[in-house]
Amino acid sequence: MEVKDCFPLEMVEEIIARLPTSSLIRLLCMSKDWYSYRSSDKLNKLRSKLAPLDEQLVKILNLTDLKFWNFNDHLKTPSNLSFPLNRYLQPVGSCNGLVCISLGGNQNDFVLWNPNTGAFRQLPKPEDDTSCYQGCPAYGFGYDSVSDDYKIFLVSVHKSDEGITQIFSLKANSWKK
Amino acid sequence: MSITTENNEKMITLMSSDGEEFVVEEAVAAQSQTIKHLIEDGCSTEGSIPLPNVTGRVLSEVIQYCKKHSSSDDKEEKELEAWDAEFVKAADDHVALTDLMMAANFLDIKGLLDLVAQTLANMITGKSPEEVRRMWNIKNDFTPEEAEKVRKENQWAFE
Repeated sequence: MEVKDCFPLEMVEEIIARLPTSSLIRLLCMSKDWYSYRSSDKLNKLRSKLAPLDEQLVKILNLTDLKFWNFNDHLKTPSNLSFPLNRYLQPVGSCNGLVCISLGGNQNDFVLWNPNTGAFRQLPKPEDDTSCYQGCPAYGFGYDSVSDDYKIFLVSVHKSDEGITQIFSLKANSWKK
Repeated sequence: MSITTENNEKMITLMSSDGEEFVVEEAVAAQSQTIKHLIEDGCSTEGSIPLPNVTGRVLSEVIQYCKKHSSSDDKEEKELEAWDAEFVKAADDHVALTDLMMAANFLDIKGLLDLVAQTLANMITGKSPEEVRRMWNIKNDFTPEEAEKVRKENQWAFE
């Protein structure tokens, strides 16, 4: 198993998962192959297990939603992140280093963000447009280890006082009632 | 080949890709999950276990590690840590460490994989993309425009 002058790509995630965040992001910018690891689920899971404990970003992400706002203050140049921080944001939750955010305070606009790699994804809108519904919807974000999937649940109350539950699956990239 | 030593340790023979043979105690070899499963499946009774992905040079390093880790118990954790540090230092450079890591991955030796991966990560922490590209001959296949865009999007990490 002699490797000369080439990096074993199947080993990349094992190594870079252990880097401090700024080093990680810099190196992901090295080539297209490396950049594609931004959205790697393996990297993300390894990282949430291995990342150095003194990593500021990781610490903040492991705290509760409210503390998430500190993230904004911590990085002095939020506008340079590949994240539309100029909009009003409502953190939904974070899990394995992934952060789920509701954009513009609108319960129909969710995004997933991985601040450790900069990967960012806007999610499809729920089937049922609940933005005109009354009251505050309840929602949450989490990892389902049985189906190895990330999910959002959204409970809203219709004018007729009828509760509607919708669940988003990241694997299927769609909502279900 | 199943030999037993005086103190009744079962021995097995490992054969590297370049034909070098290593006779080791079964308990040492079984630090590798891959070899452990081969032994359990009865692949070791007929002659030696061939390891077509690992050269003799790398295999001798791996065996050194497995010997040390099968003979130490938890009480010696501090000493073991110091030994590990010396061990990766002796592996010399990133190319040798990369070989060792691929072998640890193939042989499924979690402790060794973690140790080498962490050493490599420490090696590239704080290095510029240009330096790391040179280390492993990684081609920059972004066009200048793409590179500029990617860098801008991740500007804070470059400051």
